Amino acid sequence: MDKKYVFDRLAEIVGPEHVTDEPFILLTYTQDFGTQPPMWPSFVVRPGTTEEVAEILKLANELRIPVSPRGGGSAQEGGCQSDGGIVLETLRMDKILDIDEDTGTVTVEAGITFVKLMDVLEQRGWKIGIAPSGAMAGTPGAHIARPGVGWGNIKYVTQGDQVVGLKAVLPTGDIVSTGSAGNPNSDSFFRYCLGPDLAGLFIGSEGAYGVITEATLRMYPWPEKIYLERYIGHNLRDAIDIFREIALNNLVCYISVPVIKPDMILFDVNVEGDAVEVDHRLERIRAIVRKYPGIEFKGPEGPSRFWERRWFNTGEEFKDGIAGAVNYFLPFEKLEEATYAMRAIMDRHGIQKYAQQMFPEPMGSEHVSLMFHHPGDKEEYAKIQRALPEMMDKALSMGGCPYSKGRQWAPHLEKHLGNTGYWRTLKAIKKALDPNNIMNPGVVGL
Amino acid sequence: MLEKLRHQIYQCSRCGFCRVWEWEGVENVCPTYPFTPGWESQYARGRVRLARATMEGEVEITPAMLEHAYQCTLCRNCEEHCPVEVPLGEIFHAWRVDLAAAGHNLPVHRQIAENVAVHHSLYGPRGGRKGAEASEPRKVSVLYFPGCTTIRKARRVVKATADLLGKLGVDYAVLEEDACCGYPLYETGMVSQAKEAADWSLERIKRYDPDIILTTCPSCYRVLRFIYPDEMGIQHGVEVLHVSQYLPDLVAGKLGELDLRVTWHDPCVLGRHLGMYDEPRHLLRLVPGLELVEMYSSRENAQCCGAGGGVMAAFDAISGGVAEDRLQQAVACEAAVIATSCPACYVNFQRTIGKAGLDMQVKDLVEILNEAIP
Ligand code: SF4
Ligand code: SF4
Repeated sequence: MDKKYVFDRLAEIVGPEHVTDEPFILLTYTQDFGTQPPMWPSFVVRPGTTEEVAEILKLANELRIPVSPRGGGSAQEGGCQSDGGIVLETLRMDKILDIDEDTGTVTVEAGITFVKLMDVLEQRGWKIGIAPSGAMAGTPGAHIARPGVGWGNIKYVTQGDQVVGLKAVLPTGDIVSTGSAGNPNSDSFFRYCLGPDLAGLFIGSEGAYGVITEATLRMYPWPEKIYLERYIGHNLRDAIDIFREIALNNLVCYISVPVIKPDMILFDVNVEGDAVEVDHRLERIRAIVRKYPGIEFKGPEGPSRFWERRWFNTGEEFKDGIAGAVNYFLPFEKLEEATYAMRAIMDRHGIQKYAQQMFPEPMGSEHVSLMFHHPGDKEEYAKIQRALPEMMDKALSMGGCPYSKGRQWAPHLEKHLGNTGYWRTLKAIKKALDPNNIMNPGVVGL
Repeated sequence: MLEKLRHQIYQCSRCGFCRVWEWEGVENVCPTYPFTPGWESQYARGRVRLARATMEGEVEITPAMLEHAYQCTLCRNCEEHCPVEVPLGEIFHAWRVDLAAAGHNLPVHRQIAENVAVHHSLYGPRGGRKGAEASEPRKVSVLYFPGCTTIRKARRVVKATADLLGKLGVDYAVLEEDACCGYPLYETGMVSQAKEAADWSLERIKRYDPDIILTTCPSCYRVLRFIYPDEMGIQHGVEVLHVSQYLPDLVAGKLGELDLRVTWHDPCVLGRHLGMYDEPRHLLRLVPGLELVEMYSSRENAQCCGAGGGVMAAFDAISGGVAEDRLQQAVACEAAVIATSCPACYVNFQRTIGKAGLDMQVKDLVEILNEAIP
């Protein structure tokens, strides 16, 4: 690659101040929030518009240079890393384009942070369904591409479920609007219309099929009442039964289970709605909990305090260091087994500080294992790097399904899924859309 | 220096919470970031990574990298909003000390150090105002040490302080000659040069044998009161007070009415570095008729004015942009006056109000108190 030539061409597209090949700047783009080993890109480019993204991808396609999109760099699986290619950072594209109170949708550029979006909506009496825990740095483009989950995931399920339409740039530079916006005479207000659901192609593709540059998400009137309360249980199976019953009856906005220890399971429920509705739901939740002996009621104070500064508080968990993360979905009936299996692997490797958590969905739960360490601690890092593949392998063989895959899960996905129609279809789509394999090669396993 | 902070440097979890918030009284965590091209290396997450790279000899130190290091006002807003409590202020200062020790400075900061060494002022020779030299030193109870920026660029503050002390019947003198406390050199990493400035200035101060050294500048206060003894091994034994600590008892009961809507800009050094949020507000509240209103970002969240850390000297546009951002917060809360107690904030606001044509006045705390005492 003639780097000078590439630099000049990129500079023509975005302006010289928005492209860099300075080694000291590249260094700061070698990792995300996780534990994947660093990768050095050759360029970082910061486009300001969808059209600039399109020009960058056309150029990359012409010159066969890999491109990895990056939002706030706050995911944990290395999805935004690039080995010698272009990191395309979306943070300049940070505008709210339309708050449509007619259709209950908000259209944003890919690189706005969730906290900014949510703050603006809240001031106008609206909210989005799914708020990622890394909302302070995280962006819709990246969160949809993973695809992310977050607070709200029983009532609103995942970020993908909140998508009404996307604007995305294909690896060849073509610009696609999905859903109703596929009709050039229409805005984005409905997802499943005109033809197949193209938004779904980009949700979870982690940039392998193109770059999301705009998203239209559903928004909801800010609820009259939001109420939280905390419980502590001591029997994992009982706790999971409670989660299932609450989730299947759709009684809460979310259940958060931030602490799962052998003898203690701490969980918060968040209920929203009008006052009568909240009280009614609470009664039903309490009735479910009461069926199980030994569950302690801890009241609303703790979780309410957390909720007040929730965006900030999620970061405090990482006082224990950066986390190697193994997160995946499982149906309720497999959660207990998974908890013990993950714990056994982490214990066998002598991982010193780890957390197990669950964030139930309507049909099962996200199962989370976080292995904390300070990156200077090479010994602990090595242990985590040994534990990670075993855990991912075990998760997949139990039927676990990761949502955020990045580069971390890629080889394992290929191993477990490689001989399926699903995998062959993913590959075929990749080949059709990205014949030169420039879009974030290596993520997912594509 | 960085080596001592190795553990803390590695504590950064790379969460990215230190860039922008636009939530709960914080707009941009890093005030300068929006006025730069916006690379990772232009806010705390990238800077702490580069400090680590410097410590470990991982990257070549280029002029461009130095610029990114020095586009930081050392405002500590990132530290205040870092969920894992990385001591970023200390790390970024140590980074500069190590860079300077290896011969890496911005040329403009090197020039400033030279100015201080030769002329005892950041701003070099005095030019036309040679007449303002020192009065004959004598034993005083209070020596007002204005510091270089106040004495050269904010003369109104010197005058207001002198007037006020006179009205209050204080036995005082003003150190009218050029004398630099050394803080501007300290914060740009040139600690040994800062110590030389400190030695020189203390020698001048001691000629007055003061019981109290009084400052209207948070940086002078911080360095005289804390950094000399704690980091430079200078034990001068004189009590050092910032005006906001010294004045409350003296002015109580003497203040006349001022019909003024004022917002308080917390200077980063007074606020986040020293925790003095209440002292100046208390003083302002003592003024009858004065209405104190808060900006969107105040106290721990206060947005920097853009001048600190040597940024105003080196990056005029960044510094002006940040100041305008902050002034817009004052406009938004419909204040007539943005009050502060730091000459760097004062100067940066004043020039920006002029340039941007804003309907806003900047006043130092002592100017307001002086106006309120007939
Ligand atoms: S907020 Fe603190 S831990 Fe997070 S990236 Fe910034 S410096 Fe690192
Ligand atoms: S100290 Fe202030 S200017 Fe420097 S990185 Fe932190 S927030 Fe930005």
